[in-house]
Amino acid sequence: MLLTQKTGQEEMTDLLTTKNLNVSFKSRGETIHAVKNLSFSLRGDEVLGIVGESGSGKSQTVLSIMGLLEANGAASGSAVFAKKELIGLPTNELNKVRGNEIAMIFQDPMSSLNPYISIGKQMSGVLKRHTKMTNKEIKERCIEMLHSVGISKPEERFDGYSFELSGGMRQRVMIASALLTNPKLLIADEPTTALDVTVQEKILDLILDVKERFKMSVIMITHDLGVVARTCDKVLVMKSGELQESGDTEAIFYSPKADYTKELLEKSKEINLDDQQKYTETQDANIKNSLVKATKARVSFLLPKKTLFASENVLTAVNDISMETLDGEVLGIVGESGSGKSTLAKTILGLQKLTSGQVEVFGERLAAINKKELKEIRKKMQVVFQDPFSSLNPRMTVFEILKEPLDSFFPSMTKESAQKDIEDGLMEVGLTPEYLGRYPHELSGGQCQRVAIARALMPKPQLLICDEAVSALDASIRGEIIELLLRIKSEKKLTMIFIAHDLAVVRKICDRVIVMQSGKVVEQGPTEKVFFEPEKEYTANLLSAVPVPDPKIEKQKYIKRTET
Amino acid sequence: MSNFRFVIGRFLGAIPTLLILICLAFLLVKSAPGGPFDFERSLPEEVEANLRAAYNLDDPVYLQLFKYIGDLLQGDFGPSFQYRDYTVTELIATGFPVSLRLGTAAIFLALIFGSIIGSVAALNQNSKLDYSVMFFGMIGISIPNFVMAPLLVLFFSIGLKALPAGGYNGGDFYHMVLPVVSLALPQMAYIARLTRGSMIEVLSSNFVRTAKAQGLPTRSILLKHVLKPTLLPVVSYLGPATAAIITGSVVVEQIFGLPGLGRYFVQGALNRDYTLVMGVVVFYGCLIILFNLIVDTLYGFIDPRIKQNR
Amino acid sequence: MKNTNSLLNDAWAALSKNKAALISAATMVLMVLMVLIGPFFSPYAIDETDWYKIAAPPTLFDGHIFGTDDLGRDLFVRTMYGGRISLMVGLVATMVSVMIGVTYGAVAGFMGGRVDALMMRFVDVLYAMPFLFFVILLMVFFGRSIFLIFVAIGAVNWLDIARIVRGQTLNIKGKEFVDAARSGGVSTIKIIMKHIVPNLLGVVVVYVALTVPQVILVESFLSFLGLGVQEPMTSWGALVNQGARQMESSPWMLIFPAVFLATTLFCFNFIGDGLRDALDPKDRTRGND
Repeated sequence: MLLTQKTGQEEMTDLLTTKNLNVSFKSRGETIHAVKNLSFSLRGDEVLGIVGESGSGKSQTVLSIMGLLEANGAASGSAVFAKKELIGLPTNELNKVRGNEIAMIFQDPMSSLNPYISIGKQMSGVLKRHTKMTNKEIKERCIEMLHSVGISKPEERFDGYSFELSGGMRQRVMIASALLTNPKLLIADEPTTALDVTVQEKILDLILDVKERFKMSVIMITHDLGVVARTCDKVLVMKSGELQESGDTEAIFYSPKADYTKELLEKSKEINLDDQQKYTETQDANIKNSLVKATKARVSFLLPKKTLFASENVLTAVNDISMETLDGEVLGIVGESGSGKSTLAKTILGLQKLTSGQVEVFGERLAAINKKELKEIRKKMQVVFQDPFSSLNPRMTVFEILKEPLDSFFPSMTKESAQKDIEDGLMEVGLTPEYLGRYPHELSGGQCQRVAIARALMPKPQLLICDEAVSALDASIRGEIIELLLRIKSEKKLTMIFIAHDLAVVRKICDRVIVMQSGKVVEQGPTEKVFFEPEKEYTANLLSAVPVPDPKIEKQKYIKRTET
Repeated sequence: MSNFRFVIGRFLGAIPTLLILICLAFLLVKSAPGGPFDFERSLPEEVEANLRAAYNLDDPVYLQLFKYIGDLLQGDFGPSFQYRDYTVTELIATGFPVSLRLGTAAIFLALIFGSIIGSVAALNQNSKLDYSVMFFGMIGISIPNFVMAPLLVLFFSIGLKALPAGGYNGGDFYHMVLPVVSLALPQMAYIARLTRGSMIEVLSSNFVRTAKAQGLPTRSILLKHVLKPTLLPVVSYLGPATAAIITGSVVVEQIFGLPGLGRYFVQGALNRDYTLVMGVVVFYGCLIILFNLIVDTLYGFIDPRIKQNR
Repeated sequence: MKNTNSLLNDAWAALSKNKAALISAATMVLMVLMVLIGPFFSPYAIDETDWYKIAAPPTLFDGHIFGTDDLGRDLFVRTMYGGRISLMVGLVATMVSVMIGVTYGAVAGFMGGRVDALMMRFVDVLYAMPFLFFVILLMVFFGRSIFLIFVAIGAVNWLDIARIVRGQTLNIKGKEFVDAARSGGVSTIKIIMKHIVPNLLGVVVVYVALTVPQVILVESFLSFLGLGVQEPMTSWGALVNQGARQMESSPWMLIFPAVFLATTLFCFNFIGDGLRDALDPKDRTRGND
């Protein structure tokens, strides 16, 4: 079989049509309907987006078409691709289609490639299976494809392994593998969710680029409306397995008909980065003192030596950083993975030793104080971490978790006043005293995070550090927790350091912001100024890389990117 | 070149273990009450003379140790305490080939059958076949070989009269079947469970999902993507498996009356033949360390992630 | 202790779904009862020779329900007493193993860095030794006191537990709730006691259940070779040894102790397996679907 032939007439015909597609699962005796009576069609040259929150059934739809459902899943209905009915097709017939005419890339590039086999072997396997090319031809085509997805030194990468590559590069390799047989349809299941924002931009552009070059259709599955606005021609909106609305992208975004679509758009627009607000200087009369002050702070780690004779490898996570946090403000620290923001947070908290430089908290140099003094300072400075489940001890009840800071900072407190403080603390984060006897695994992610916040507030701190406190939460819960944090901040006049990689959230709640990259401060200043008049190119790139749920704006950004 | 460095590195790492083994064994013998160096009991003159000569008992301890190690390196384990006419080296040379035969057959049996059975179970997960494999696997692990062996003899030799109940007879097939099987069974069961667990994990991995999405047929996926990661933990286990088989051989040789090293060891233990016992421990210990070294090195060549760091 | 409440609940909830583990647990309870009170139902003593019934097959009529051995001793009583020894060795030696292993592993995991690397290297070195041989050496050289047996066997098996506990300690140390506790001003001792240890219990319980059969096996092995407990005490291993020698003429001498031994090992392995599945310290991730 030769590579898939394309006639150029693809645009005219429907490539994929589903009718009453149903997917259900048997789990613990119950049947769960993941996809209910879904019907849609896809032409030969368009990008179709399937958007929805978790549980909407968007992934299950394409998995059922590809025959990749779990053992306890079943699909019924019809999905016709290039005149072939795929639902119910026997596996050996299906194997002629998938990987050949339909290719798929997945969410987690880190684990989607086999680390035990060379990349070349994996890619060759696809061509060996679907074509009659010779080994030499196969190798040439693979290397050519690696090159065309932007991988440098493709010959070396061909013989190399997946663990030598970063997440973004692995996703490129996945895309290259998908393109080898010149497929008619590329299915991308949340392809960039696990990647940094700037990497995401490049990968999405790559997908659009190969779509044009190879004349394919693309199904893009995502929960991010910005990604939809950036890449899709048509959109399906799904909720709980049911189709809520479908249509052209501009129609969906600018004149949504279904209530759910409107709701989704509302939520995403709350934190819209591209409002054309003008930045105005505001003068603050009071001179505020700094609660946290870092001067040329450096944190370096020695990496384990690979062999006895190799030279030592040093990782500098925080590279001579100077910054400060003023009393009463909300300071945002943004950066992509590897920027050092979390390490900086741990240093401020006294959980990580400095290699050089100095950090002052509440006027005291962290390196110079003893344990007792550190404890006094810790009373004024608390933290909320990212993972709601691992930040609570699974063997302690909510009551015990909240009591611990009281025991440690106010040992002479009576049982009654402690009980009262704990109950008050719970109410403040929106939970009721009935939660006191529960264990963390009985709570949801959002509830756990509320308990974590309550715990942080127990010693009545002045400074609250939130290290990616909302990043691990579902989108709908995220908003609630952010509201909670803002309310607490104003009620208790807290100073906050808010660390995140999500620029939209930072913009919503921070007064000032620091942008970090590779351990260094790239830019800092009032939020509005940094976001609208960024001085450094990195900041500007970072900001524009965030996809915005507005197709027209995204189109302009795209034109700008591709003309340079 | 880096390959060579890797092997040397591993080799060097094994030396401390070897040294500790030898020192421990040596110290044990020196401190044992009623042992060859405890001259409360009067020893026959020749033996005492031999021992004094062999161990330089008038020298300080560390010199004795060096001499002992030196002798070892030349293959000299000293004279046997019990069998007056033989040196320990000669006894080891007589018994080892038998044990080698037994052990090698057992390892191969355990490895091959164990991994096949485990794979079949994994591929048919949660079926009746799977459950029965797991069940029999559990029995195999639980029943010690000194219980299994007599039961097998009871059934096959006494009951069915199909196989001999003991004896070596030059190591012919009929005389080796029951010993090899009883020795191999616990390890076979363990390897089956290990393979099953490993394969189930690999089968549910994301890269197998990718392979399916690429339209690769099942056989291709199993051979190219699944086999290697599944077997890596089994290769790792070969070291401990060998140690277990060596230990088990002690009992099996005893039960079936095979003239192997294990039998000499037990007789030596019961007869208080200290030099023999110590010699066997050092010999087997070195063997195990050597084997672990080989397996370790082999693993480093198979797992590409370690290959990278060479 | 509120901490263990949840642990017990979890263990019970998960075990009760695992039929094999439940049956095994029930069997073990029965077994323990049998070996403790069984002998009271028999008119014979452990080393009493019944001259009229040497090597007699099992029968219900004269109380020798398991038969007698080649010296005329009642097999039922001997099997029960042997069970007491085997189970006791199992328990005590396991406790020795667990104490050494947990302490070693927890210290290594908690200290981290160089200390940890050194300690684990030591474990690696010991792992390669033919330990059983050394135990036999010890038995040969220093006599066969039961105390020595406990210690020797215990000293052999602590390596596995040490490794597992160290891994789990490292795992817990990296969790955010430990950092949160440190920020919360909790002292190091309290962190170890309240945060690390309770989260280790799960893993320790599993490995206790899995170590008991290994230890019983080692003791049986030694007894089989004639290096274990001495007469008039006996253990299942010793009984199997005696039975194996007589199996052509008196197969019951082999079968009864063998069945008891195998069943015990079998049950403990199932219980350990079941506990391990139940209390697997994998994070309980909420289904994000």
